[in-house]
Amino acid sequence: MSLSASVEAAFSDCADFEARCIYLAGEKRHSLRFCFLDGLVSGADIGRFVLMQIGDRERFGAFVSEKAALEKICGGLAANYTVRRREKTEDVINDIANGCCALFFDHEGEALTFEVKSDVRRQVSEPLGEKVVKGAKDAFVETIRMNTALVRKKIRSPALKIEETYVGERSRTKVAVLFIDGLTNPEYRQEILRRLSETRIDGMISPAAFEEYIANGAKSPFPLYINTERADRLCSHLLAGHVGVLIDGLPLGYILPATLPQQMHSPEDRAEHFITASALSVLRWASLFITLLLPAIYVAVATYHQEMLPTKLMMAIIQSKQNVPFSTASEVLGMLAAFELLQEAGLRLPQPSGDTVSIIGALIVGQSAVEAKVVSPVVVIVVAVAGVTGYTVPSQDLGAALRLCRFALTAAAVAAGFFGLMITGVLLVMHLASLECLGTPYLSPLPHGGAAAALRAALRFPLRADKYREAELRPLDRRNQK
Amino acid sequence: MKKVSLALLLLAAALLFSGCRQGRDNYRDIERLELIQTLGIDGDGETVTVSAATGKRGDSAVIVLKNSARTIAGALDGMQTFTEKDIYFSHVAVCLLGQKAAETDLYYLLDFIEREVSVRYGTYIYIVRNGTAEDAVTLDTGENTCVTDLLAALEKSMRLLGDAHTYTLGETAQAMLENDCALVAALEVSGTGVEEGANELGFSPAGYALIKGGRLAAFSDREQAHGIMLLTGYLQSDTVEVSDGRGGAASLQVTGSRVSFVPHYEDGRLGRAEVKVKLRASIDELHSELDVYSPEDISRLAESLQEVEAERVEGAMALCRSAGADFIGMGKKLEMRDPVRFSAVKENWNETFSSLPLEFSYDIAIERTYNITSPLESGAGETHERG
Repeated sequence: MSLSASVEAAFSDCADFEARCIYLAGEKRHSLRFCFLDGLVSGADIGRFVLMQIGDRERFGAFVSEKAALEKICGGLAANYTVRRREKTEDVINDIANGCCALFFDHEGEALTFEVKSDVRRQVSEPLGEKVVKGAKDAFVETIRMNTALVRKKIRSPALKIEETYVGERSRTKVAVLFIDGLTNPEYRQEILRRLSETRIDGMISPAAFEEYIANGAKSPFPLYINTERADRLCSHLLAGHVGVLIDGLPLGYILPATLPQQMHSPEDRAEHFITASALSVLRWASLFITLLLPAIYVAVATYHQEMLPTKLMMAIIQSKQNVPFSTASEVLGMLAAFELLQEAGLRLPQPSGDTVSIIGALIVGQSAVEAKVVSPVVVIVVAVAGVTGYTVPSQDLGAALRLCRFALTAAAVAAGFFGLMITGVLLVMHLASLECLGTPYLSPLPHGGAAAALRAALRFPLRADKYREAELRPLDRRNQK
Repeated sequence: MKKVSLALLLLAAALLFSGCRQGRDNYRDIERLELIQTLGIDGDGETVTVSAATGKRGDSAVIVLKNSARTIAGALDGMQTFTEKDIYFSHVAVCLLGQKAAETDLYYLLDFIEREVSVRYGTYIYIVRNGTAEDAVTLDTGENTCVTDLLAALEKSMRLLGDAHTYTLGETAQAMLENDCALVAALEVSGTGVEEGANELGFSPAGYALIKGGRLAAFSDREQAHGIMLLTGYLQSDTVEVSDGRGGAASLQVTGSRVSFVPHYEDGRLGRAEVKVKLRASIDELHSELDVYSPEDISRLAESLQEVEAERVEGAMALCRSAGADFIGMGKKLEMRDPVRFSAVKENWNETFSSLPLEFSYDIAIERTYNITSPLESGAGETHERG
């Protein structure tokens, strides 16, 4: 079977697949098959930069043979900016699926593919989830080439390497692995490429496909990667020795390996004065513990260890709980569940409705519940504080994991007070300590780095004093400034 | 699998925590608790009567419970039958002891404090002079306040006025265990309702109760209590009214004080000790013609203050020595100065303390007069007249 026939057979029953014959240099004798996927390509570009050149007898000159014509076209007769020679059916299919048109020279057993992608795509805009006041405003879009361009605009060095591969037996999704040559530990790159090549799935359409298959995220709710909408954040991590991964169709960049302390750093940390950034960082760490532990501590103290409360506070809590029919445990667990429901509803609804639901939930339902003595105001405050502090955690995935653990810790506190809380806390720390991403321990450098590592995790040092890249990433070059 | 096994093992180990579900259920919803804040204990050696009062909480009325039994714990447990809520003693702020109970035996209280985990060592303790703890706990305080609040106000005023230092149960227990003696602040139930509807009922300070051998040995009067405050180093502030020697009076604010004990060993035995009192004061109010810029007049005021303080200190020391025990902790301070030589008298220190020759010396000065009139009037070329 000829190359064109095998490609057309592959795309049979595809309504968007277009195939036709064109005459080389206008000669009916020399008919060639030409095909593309409608919608992925720009018709105008095909006409102007491919068909017009190939069919123009004057430009083509005397026709000798198909082989000579092929060489002429490759040599610049076609004005298109890319032209690739393909011999394998699979390569031609990949090119067509990625916005190329193909011209088959069946006698030669070759095809030429011209990149004529359609311009219909979402333009670069501000990030939705990682807004900053100071800093770049360009966020990733769904087109991988635009995303690589955004990165390249910020790191113009040829040391920025971009390796591409296809993942998904059916989706054939293009995945780009980005790293800095001479800086990033090559083991990371090799390991990611190995995992990508070994992934046999139908399609890499959703973020979870990457997170669970490639980043080994399935065994823990805690994210072993950083995902970002912001090109500048990806670039700063690349310069720190991380590997970046871009996936066609996802307006996200993934950063690997990622540790817990790294996930607590906000993109704005490097936009603020180091003292301000350090103070905010300490606040974020405090928020992490508050969001995780506050409801559980409240339940433990209010149901088992009342002697820990100052008398006046205890009297105020008792006063506020008068006539509330539910136990403290039911109140807290119920309110936590209600908080999650309201948040989920707010996310799923369109923006204006989502805001309205949040306001109604937070203000009207909360206040009404308190006035109706269904819940006590202290529980509303505890759950609200825990919820709000959860939003200060920079990573949404980490925030979601913390919310999940919050339920577990609260349930443990209901069961056995501080004993339960302590045991569940120990199990949580054990779990975190057992995690690793590309061989980098999830909690590093905290377990072995001592006080200096803890300070580095919690604070943002002045850039002049921050001369070395993080050791746990094992970069080939540790100094980041001379 | 290993991790799951470990997790299950840990959870199983959690069940072994002693006391989690033993006896009483530890799970108590906070609103189910009846918070006792004042505890009164009376006893005659045979029966213990415990009275308990909650604090003032919003509009709800103060609840007072009373029960008698052979032991304190028995009386407290019996109270549970009077209310549907769980009676909770961990937030008891004040423990009152009736005078008769104090005269009988206080070691049973000590025993109770040591064993009962719910009662805090930080709970204040008072002895009700000339009365029972029940009188104090069941005091009708009107609608706007409660016994606990009044006792909190009393503690603050006693501290600021130098009437007495309020010791805690833990401090008292420690002192009794270490020295077999302790000081406990005393109070009296005062006021009888000046007119109908008025809430003038309350408590007044009544010096210190001196506990020796587990029994009430003596009470100090108010002046001696001031002296004990000074000797024990708890005097933060005090206002002393003194005569200026010319028919006028001055109110002096004590701003700082320190007492040090200097031992004098002769041939290895403690021959005598010096009690050095250092006190600083300022003029609070002047009803006198004294010239505050005159050193003579100021030293006259200081001498008057010294007379008052000497009477207090020496009176307090005499009371303690007559009671036969070192209530003021002088031995501990002497031991810290010279532990080796003190070891010779440590064994029988209480007896030594009672008979040890003491020499008192005073360093008293008035540091500030706060006078603003004279400098203004003496301003060059100007005359300021006060209307």
